[in-house]
Amino acid sequence: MYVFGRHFDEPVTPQNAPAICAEGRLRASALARTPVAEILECLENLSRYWSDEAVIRDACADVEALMPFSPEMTEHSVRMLSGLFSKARAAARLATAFPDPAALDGFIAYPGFGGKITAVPHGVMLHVTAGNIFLGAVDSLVMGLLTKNAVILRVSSGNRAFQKHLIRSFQAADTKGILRDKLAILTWPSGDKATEAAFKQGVDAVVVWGGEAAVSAYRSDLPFHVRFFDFGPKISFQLISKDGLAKRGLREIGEAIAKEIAMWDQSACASPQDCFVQEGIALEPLVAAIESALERFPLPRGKNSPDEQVELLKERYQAWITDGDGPAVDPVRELSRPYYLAVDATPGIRPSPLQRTLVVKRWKALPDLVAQLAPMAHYLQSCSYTLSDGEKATFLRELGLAGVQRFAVTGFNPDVLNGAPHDGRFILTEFVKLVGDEQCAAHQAAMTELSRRLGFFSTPGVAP
Amino acid sequence: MSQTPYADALVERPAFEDSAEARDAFARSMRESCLALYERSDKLRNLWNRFRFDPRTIEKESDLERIPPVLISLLKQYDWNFLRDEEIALELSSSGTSGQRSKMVLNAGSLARVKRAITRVHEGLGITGNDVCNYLVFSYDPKAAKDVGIAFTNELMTSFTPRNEVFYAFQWDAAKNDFVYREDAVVATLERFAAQGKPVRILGFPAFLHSLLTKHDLALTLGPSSWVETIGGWKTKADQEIPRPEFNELIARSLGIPKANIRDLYGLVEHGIPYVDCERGNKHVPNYSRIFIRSPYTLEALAPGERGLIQVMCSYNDGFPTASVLTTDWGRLESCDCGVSGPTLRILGRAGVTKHKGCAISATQRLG
Repeated sequence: MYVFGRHFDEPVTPQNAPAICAEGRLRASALARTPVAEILECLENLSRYWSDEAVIRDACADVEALMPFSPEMTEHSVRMLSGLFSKARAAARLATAFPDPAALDGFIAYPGFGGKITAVPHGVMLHVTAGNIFLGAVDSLVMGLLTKNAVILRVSSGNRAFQKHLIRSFQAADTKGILRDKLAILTWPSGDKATEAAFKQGVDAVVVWGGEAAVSAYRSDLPFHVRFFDFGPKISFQLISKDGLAKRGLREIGEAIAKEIAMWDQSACASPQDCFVQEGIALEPLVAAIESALERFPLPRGKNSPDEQVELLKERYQAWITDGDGPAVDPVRELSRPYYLAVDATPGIRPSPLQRTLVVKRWKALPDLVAQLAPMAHYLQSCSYTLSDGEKATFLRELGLAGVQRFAVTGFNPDVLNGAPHDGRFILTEFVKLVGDEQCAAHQAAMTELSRRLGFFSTPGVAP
Repeated sequence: MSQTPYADALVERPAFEDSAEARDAFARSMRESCLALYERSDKLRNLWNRFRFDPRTIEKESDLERIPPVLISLLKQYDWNFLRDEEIALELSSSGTSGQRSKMVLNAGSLARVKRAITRVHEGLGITGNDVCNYLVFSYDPKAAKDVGIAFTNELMTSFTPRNEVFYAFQWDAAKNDFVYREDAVVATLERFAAQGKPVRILGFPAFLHSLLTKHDLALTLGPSSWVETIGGWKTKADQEIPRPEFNELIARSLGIPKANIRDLYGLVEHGIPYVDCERGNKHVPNYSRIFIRSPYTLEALAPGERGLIQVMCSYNDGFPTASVLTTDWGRLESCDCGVSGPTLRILGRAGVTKHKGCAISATQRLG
């Protein structure tokens, strides 16, 4: 583990958590006064560090056995780190969140209300990250530091293997000490309520990525002054219309669908779990095209844990029990296939057991589709769509009203655009407080006029 | 004449019998039961057809491994009943540990056979007797919980000795329209039983017994003829579960009961046959059932000692398609040389993902 510039070998406890938070406060104060340009340069140095082949090889060799993904998927993820840290990416994100990134360094004119604003960090932020993809933890960390907050990153057990390499990168790349002593990377057991409570008391904001249990645990008993940002469990889906499919063709769409469910074995919140196929599209060739693409997908699926495999077994049994006239069951062959397309005639979006399991559903028209999504409206995140140009505007607007928070063309779901909103918000804007200075030309003119009429404003020391 | 002569005969044999004849008797009864179920259950027939399994091919013990199991979660999800109303002697539901509840029905013959089997398993382990006993049952009063499987089992188990008094810890409260756990009454009953001097039998959910013993500083002497048999697992209090030897030590110390008389029962409403600790704490498989341990990756049967999903088979029930059921519990087959025959079953916990490690909702997460 790592605490603000030094290795930390003690277990994290309710007793030492307050001191960690207090140290974070000192670091946060320094970071708040650091020019954003220096932070961007530091991130760029980290980006260069993570583009080094030797670094990538070393990290992969160390973490791949401990990751839930295949070695190929792990390497692919490690190679994305350079992009996550890059100055260009950070600058693009700042540009979408603030009218001028200089707002992070001081007051800037804000045309909307005629005054000035500056963006002030919350201070010390606790980031609780999900155990699915270590990229998510790094991204959260970068956003926290970019907005000049000192970050305590609580990584899950699944990401512990990676933390050593992350710490090493800050120590090696941040030669000027801009960020390396502004972060702590810690672990403590899930459900350790006393330690959780100690951190909740000591920080200024809490960010939680993960399932309902994690979000609930950190939300409960949070001190009134502590800001809370939750990125809870989500379900995403694909949408294929007849006209949209006609535009792209089976092979292309099969590959696009396969890519989206293969990446990170569906463990990301943006990973589609259901594919809604419009009635009138022949399912058999579409399913065959997706299966063929999954067979050819270059990044293999990770090995399922026995418990994950039980969830897949339950899904398989649904088909074995409901399709009495189907072909002979060969459990060894079927269960060893690293993907599964479950054609489900029952209307309504439902979660899949993941691990490259896609639930294929039918829809007739937009109102029917919206009705099928309604039971999970509050959990909807991404919709990757294959629609005609004529359909697109109406569908996206209505699905947005139905709860969908992000759209991407089928195949591009995993390729998140720099600076795009996440779960319905610009995160960088939430990681700061916007402070306004309402001095403006109109106020100045009014003051002058008042002074002219009454006189005493401009005559210090004279009583009215 | 009985439609199920082999199943009827099987439960008249001793529970723990290890001979070629006993094994053959079980295989014949399985064939009989499977044929009846294949004939009447459309769902089971569909499943077995997909697995290309024909019950007529069951001829001997070694054929049993081929009987495809029904996954237990599907028994909870769908209605599998094929009996006409007038054929149903008892309808049971599971206690719903995971939120889903199984509903299974028994015809008169199956009900008689399962009662006989449960009794004979306890006889085989020396748990039945002739002493008049008081019973404290940590379970639902069966007068109000007629269709709850565990209440049925507990009521049956109070018949293993002559009864003096039976006290159920979960009493129906009409005002609350629910069962209420009456802890004060339980403590008072225990103390009263101890004062009476008659042997006491304590049955039911272990978590409540554990909670009682840790909250109240009991130092009773219920005597060498008293017994404890826990049934039904720790359920929603799984986070409070303690290792079994520690629990047994607590029971023995607090209640003055010999450790050899403290037993645990593993059972499923969908299966009916109980797996009860021998005096060494091992759950022997009686000749009324078979257990295979299956790989979740291939469904192949695993060797003794290997961890996998527990598949249970029984032949007593020709009225509900539970001849072969794949549970979502982890376990492994072991052996024990206590003198009781049959392999032993080690339960290794619930299978499946209960807490997904990510921000994608998974099928196992409860929503809202």
